[in-house]
Amino acid sequence: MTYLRIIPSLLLKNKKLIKGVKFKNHIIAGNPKTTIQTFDSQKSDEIFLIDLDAYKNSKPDFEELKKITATINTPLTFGGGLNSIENIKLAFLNGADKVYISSAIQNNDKIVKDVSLIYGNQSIVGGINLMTDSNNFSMLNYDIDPISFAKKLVDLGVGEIKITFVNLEGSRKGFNLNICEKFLKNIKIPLIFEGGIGSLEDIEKAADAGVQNIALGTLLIFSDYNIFKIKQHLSNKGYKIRN
Amino acid sequence: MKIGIINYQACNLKSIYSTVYNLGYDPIIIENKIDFLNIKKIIIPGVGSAKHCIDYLQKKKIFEEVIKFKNLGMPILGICLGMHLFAEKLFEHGESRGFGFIKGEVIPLTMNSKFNIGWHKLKIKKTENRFIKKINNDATFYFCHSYYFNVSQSNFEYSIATVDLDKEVPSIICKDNILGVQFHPERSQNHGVNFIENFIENFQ
Repeated sequence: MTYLRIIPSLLLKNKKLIKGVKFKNHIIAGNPKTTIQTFDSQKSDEIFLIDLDAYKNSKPDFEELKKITATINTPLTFGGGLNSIENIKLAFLNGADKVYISSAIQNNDKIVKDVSLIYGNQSIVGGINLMTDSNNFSMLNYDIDPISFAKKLVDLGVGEIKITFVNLEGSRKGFNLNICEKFLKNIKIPLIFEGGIGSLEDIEKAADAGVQNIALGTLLIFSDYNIFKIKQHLSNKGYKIRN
Repeated sequence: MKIGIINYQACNLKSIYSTVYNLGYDPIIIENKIDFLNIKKIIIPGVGSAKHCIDYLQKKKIFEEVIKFKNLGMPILGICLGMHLFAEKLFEHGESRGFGFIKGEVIPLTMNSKFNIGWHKLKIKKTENRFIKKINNDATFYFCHSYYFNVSQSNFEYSIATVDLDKEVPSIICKDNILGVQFHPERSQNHGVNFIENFIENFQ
């Protein structure tokens, strides 16, 4: 059993970090470089950075990525608008250690193979955006059973999958654990869950349900918690945490 | 000190480059034979698929130059795929021939999950090696791989540290002037940065 991974998940827009609720209502949440340096020094296990503008501009902000990655020693996964092998090459060239690909796989699943032949399968994190209520779940803007799609991602060869509870994002209600368990039972590659964590208890409940990798946005950006405090708490409670 | 970093057009070149630079050394990106001039030590980065990487190094004639560099007794650090290249054969996305510095093959992990992504402590064998002694026993390092170096029985002594997955997998391989690590020191925060500094300062 490896350590739980606690992963700040950050959104980049117009050279600022932003945070929202349910993928909307974005508020400025800090300077990307200095904020990420802080997460680096607090021993985040990894960092996720998604460029939101890239979906519109067709080209991610590689300049900003380069500035950020030059000063940290934490693994960073970059995503947003990585819909071509050219953009993916530029992401790695500018300091990404892994790439997050979501809608591009839905449009062209060959991209996984193309990337893995150059960078290896371990460098690709596939994405699933979920809409959920207490009993049902479906993928955002894509009509396919989410578990079947996750299995497809495994077959295509991604190294990890990040599953985001879109309508829990910013809600501080915790993950939908029934759904986490469904994925964990069926999918045997590392899974990262995101969306809804609002308290330390939410993290404990997720870990108790078997979640190994937890991405945090709101809890880090809009509260007094920081990575150091969160890890200290989990460590005191007996969870396997890297300090 | 000029530290060469081999660019095979896939790796996370930038991460290594800035780590070496931030430590105060002079990183030189090696893309051609001529770039080896005045280089004191070489780092071969990770992140990349074996076949693509080896084909590229062969095409650019860097492959032979690395072997020459090794035979001159110059220190080489291979990270993740960079370490895998020390093997005789690799099987990622097709079979390819490595440098053959250490006997063994690079094959897929066969654990419950076929990927090992995350942080681990190392299991370091007792050693008199001055370099290895400097590694803190409690240090954690970041791993991200789905293949591992299955070192041949006859070369087992060179696997000087392992990582405990479902089975024990080499995490540090060391033979003469060759050092290989399965983890990513450039992405392992303070312990990783210390490791790279230790390689540059103390590994001969």
